[in-house]
Amino acid sequence: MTPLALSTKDLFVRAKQGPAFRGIGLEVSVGEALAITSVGSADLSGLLEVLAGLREPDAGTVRWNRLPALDVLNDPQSGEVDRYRARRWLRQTNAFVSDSVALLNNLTVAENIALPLRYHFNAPENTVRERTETLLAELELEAHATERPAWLSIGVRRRAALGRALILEPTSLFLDAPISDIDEESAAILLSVLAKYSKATKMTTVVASFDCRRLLSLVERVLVIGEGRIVETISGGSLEETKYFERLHELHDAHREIIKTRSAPTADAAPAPTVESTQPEESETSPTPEANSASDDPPSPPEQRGN
Amino acid sequence: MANTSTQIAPPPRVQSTKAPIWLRAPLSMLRTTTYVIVLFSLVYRAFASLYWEGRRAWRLNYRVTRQQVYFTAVQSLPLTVFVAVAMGALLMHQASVVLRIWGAADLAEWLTVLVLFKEFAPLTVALVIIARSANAIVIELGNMKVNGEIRALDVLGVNIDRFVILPRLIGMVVSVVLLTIIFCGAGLWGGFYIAKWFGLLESDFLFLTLQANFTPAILINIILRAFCFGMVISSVACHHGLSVQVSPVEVPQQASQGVVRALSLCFVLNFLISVYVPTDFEL
Repeated sequence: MTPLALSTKDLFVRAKQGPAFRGIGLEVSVGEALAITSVGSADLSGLLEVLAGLREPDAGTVRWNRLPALDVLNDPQSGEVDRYRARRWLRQTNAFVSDSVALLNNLTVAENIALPLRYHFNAPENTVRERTETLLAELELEAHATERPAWLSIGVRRRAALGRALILEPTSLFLDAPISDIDEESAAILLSVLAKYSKATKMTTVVASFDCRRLLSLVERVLVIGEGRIVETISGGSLEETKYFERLHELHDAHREIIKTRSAPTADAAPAPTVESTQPEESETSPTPEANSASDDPPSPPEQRGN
Repeated sequence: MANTSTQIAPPPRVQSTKAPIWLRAPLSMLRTTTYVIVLFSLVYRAFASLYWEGRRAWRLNYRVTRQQVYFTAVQSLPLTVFVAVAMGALLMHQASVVLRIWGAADLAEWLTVLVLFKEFAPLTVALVIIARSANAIVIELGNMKVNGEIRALDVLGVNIDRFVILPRLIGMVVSVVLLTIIFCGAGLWGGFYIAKWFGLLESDFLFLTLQANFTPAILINIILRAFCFGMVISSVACHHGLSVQVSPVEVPQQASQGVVRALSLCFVLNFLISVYVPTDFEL
């Protein structure tokens, strides 16, 4: 059985837009590439930040199974120094690439990529140079190595941001809409580097994107979220492009029906159609909260982190 | 008879949100105290990061500190030397000529040391640094906040206090102290010989007497002021730079607030050190 890299239990996350995520229970194996998408409005960035450990969920637990040292984060009794070191270790091992691609504009592309290595490990300059040059070559950024990010296209900047995330060879990589707004060439380079690192270092990849069209060649599973819950897991043969989009359209149509029904309720209206979920019931876990709840409050009693 | 008036009823009187006059002074003092506490906590967190982060990133920190010293001290050197020589010559001229008229010629060298070096040197250097560097730090950090670079550093696990604030604190303090010492040297030698060359000094205004009045106690007082001014300027600049939230419009607002507050705090600190830190003279 493939060991798990990441698992969540009854996750509840308040969203900046769209409904809150509730009852999110997922398991990601070591080396797996998973995409998370949504029908309708959803704060996928917020969910991804919780999965990456950048912020705490409002209820439920997230566990990074390859890193037992991080269990202190789930233990309310752990000391401040341990929690500080665990969070720092988490940031080194769980790399996160946001959609805003905030590279430091006062550093060159090469210096941006090298920054985590210089900061966390005080690495000697020849090691830093060697590692940076390797990544620049893989990401085809040698021509831009000495340029400042502000002058570069979004595709080049996304590749540089990926290089900065990969320089520490993280165990897990979380990407927020990495290729939605870039050219085909940059997207192809990104995907090939991701596939290579995923195979070579057994890196777990979790991508959040509203448009997974170009990610289908990379990922093994697509989780579809609707109304704050996981409504569908598309994997295997269903990830073939035509079948994937057919199923996605069905889910979109069902979601639109739900919205239409909710916005115009009548006394003799037919019960709202529910989006067909293929996720198995979580009978082995605590009871799930009531379905189709529009409340943004966590389920009661709210589970504390560490239970 | 029907009321044919077309007058519109006046809008309801809005309650003023300003505090009553008698409360404004205590509130202002409370805000100032809170502000000073925030600055202290910023400095504390920056130095505490030495414990939390250990030797991590010392090479990077050294590089950023060196850049800060270069920008603040080295690039301000010509202006500082020019101001020091000009002020030194002028003060020495005034002391030697005016005090003679009032029959206090023997106090000229002592007064020059007291006014020029003890009072003017650290404060003038602080003013130059606030105008040049404090503004620049607020703008730099403010733009980093707006562009999401600070958040990106946090996501990478980089301690902001260690990587962003501490090098600027240390760089600024080192720069202010160095520039103040250079100001004193330039004012002493450059001011004296320029004033002598232009015939602005009386014959009994002696360089050796001037040097003799420059006691170690005065030097320590000067360095203490420079150190405190450096801390204040850098902490105010970092605080205001990192206070920018989302809009680029906030950056110049925080920059001007930072400059005004740094100036005010430096003047207050100068007063407190002058009054409460003794320097013993021998005339």
